Amino acid sequence: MMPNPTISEFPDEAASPNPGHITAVVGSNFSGRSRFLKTRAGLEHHGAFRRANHDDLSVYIRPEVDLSISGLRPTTGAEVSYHLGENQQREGISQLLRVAGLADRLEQNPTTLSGGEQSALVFISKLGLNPSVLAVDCALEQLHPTLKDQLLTEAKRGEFSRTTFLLADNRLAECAVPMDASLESPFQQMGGNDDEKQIPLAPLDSSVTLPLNVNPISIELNELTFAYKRGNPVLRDISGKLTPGTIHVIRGRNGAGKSTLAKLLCGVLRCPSGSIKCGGRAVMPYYEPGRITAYHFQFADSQFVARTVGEDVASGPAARGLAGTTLAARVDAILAAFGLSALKEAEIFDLPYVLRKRVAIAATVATGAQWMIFDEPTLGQDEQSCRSLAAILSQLTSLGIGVIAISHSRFFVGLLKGQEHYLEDGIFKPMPKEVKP
Amino acid sequence: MLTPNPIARGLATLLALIGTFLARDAMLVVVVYLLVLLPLLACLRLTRTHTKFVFVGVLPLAVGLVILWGLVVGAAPGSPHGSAPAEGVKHAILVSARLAMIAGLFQLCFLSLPFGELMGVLAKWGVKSDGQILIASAFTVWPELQLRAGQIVTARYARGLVKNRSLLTTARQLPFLLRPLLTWALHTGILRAEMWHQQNLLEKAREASPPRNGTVLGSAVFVIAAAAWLAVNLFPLIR
Amino acid sequence: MIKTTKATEGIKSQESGVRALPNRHLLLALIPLGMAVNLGVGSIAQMIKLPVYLDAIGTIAMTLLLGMRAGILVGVLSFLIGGLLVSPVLPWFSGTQAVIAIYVALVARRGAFKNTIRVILTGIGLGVVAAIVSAPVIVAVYGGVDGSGASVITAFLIASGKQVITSVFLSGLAVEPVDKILQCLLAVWLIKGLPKTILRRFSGGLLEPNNLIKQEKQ
Repeated sequence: MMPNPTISEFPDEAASPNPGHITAVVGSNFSGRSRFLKTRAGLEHHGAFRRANHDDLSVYIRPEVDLSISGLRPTTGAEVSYHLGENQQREGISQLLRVAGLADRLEQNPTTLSGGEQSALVFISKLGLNPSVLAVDCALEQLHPTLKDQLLTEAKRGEFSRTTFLLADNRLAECAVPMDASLESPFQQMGGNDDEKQIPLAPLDSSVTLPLNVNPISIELNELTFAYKRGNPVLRDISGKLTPGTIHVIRGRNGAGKSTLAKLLCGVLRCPSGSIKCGGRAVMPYYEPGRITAYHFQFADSQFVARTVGEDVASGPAARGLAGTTLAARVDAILAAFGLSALKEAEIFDLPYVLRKRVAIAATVATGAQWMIFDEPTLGQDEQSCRSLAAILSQLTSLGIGVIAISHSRFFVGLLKGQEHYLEDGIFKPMPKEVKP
Repeated sequence: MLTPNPIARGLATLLALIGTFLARDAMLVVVVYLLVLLPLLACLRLTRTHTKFVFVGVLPLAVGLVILWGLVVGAAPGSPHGSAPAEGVKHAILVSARLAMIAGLFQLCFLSLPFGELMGVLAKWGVKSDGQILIASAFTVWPELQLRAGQIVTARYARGLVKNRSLLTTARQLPFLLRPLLTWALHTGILRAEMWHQQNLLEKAREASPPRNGTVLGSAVFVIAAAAWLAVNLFPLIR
Repeated sequence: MIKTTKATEGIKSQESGVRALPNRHLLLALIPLGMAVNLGVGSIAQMIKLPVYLDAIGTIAMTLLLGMRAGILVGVLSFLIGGLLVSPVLPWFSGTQAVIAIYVALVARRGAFKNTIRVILTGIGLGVVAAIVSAPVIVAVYGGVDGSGASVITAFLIASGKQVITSVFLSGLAVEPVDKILQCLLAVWLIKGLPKTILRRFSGGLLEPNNLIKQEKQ
């Protein structure tokens, strides 16, 4: 467990309310944090440990934030107003929206917001319900650290003094806001519910040699510009050269255009102006999508193309012509590296979020593309998994594969020891001091 | 200033719909559509929505109907085939114009209001909160499904499963949409239901913003206009 | 190094579980999604000019998963709201959607989706029923010819001297069974493709009599 000087001591009872304070729920993956949070919020009950009073509203926010959007209102502003109803904390909520940069996006459909923006929206909306307990299960990880600090600071102010905050977050050590208490889940020794009992869990294994072999090539970007809506450019004149052999880390605030850049390089989006050269040859990735550059999405659930773990991981190399024993060997090695060997026949949507994220990363690695982009690969992953993932990414660069990582986590970026690029207002800028580790 | 109250809104729409359904004069329908309905939609900034809808949903149909009634049948319904191709074409135009008019009336009634007020109007019409929730969700889920369908196709591109992207290869991805789309729909629905239950979100539907009461003038204008339209179309049928 | 406390020790009893989810919430969440699937697949079929409608897959699938009432709501509401979002033609055929849901629920109780042969026979029956119910609507709204693929046949039948309602019904009989067989087969294929954890939520209804879910071993 990493030393965390911001967590202060707290007397024991995990069930007692602590309004206006943030309690960190710590532990590694599968140590029962989610079960504890769900129990405190009344979604589940376990033996003597259950929420006594169901009349008092308690809210659990799951890691997949897009599934926490209500689906009852078509705009961001209407979503917040719906949750707020006749509750009295309008000023506090308005301030949170301003801090999150959502105040001028109220007419936007919530499902079209970026991952971090959705995290902020969900946190703010659920706070607007004025719950007695707000149990946040790794839902704030994809926020830029500064934004997370600002939201948590605002949340602790007077207007929300009724709410006990319980926060599970694998990036808590990077949080500048002091936690008022810290506790471990009481469910560590309990064993899973019926479903989870049957899921064999294994850690990532970075010692596995990945059977991937590519011809290294550089990528040159020349004045790339892109806008989703005319007159509102997300990327402006992006230029630069990315060479394999070192991990390229792209950092920047939520909504800065990092995922958009990744989608242009992969060929999911069409580049209307500027050019991309791979290995000296001008290419339009849009017409050969996913060929030179594979892309691991921030939202893991949106990238699966098959039903079972094995089929999904095999789909990429199979599309590139691998078959028979070569294909099987690659799939088995990659499953072993990601601790998924025992889950080859498992259905992806039967697995918990943490494992689905690993499957998605494994499927990207399995493609064997010359460049691979990993968008927030450590969401939901604990410290040990982050270290293993960093080692796997380093192995990829040693095999000649170009690696781009997009991450807000200072800890993970520190492990990668790569070349950092900072994206702000759609262009690469020098790294601001507040972001440097 | 000319906003009808919820009851007048519903009544006017109903009368206008019946009137349109009973219309038999193609030219009259076209004239009223062009000179009355389209300007109304323009005032409420619904022109773009409506014209897109008409171009995609009505115009292709209109072309097909003109060919079938004008050339193949060569007459209006009830007349011997081939006896009056011009009447057949008129009938095709009548049907198409009626459809465009009905589409415009529905859009005028439902899409001219901010979303929260629409829920208030439904409440005034006696739609219970469960019905309001279903209708509200239908409007939010449709763009969500379109986004999700796009993501499923995008995933296939990003995995390198589609060589040489083109309109044809994109169309070929469509069968791969079906299973993931249903899985997504059920997975999302179940988790969403759990969230609604846990956070008592459905009870909040009752706090939906109340509708603007509208003005007496506005209510009267729309109801009288719709009743007149109904009368104009009913009269020739009774006579 | 800061001490992290363990929370409450000792779970006294082994009783655990998830707080039960009321049926109302599940229906309210899933019906709109079923509606969207109906409209989505239907508009794709229309966009790429397939000779079939494919606009009731959501209705059929949701009826099998959630029962008759849910299926009727999915069908009717998708076509009513589809009139605002997709095509002005749809609301007129909401009645047909309701009849599809009723038919599917009634025959599914007798295992009509148990195997491929049965699904095909069910599709034929559904096509006949849909043709009967849609014919009067097509005559009343369009005069008999609605611009669909089937209406080309109608037009030729009318031109050959047949009565309008007869022509509409006969052309419906030619087209609807093929479309409905395909939709029933697709709905079964889709349900069989669902993850087990999702399918289990819908046990105890129409899935078991039709071999769409494995019986839980006790």
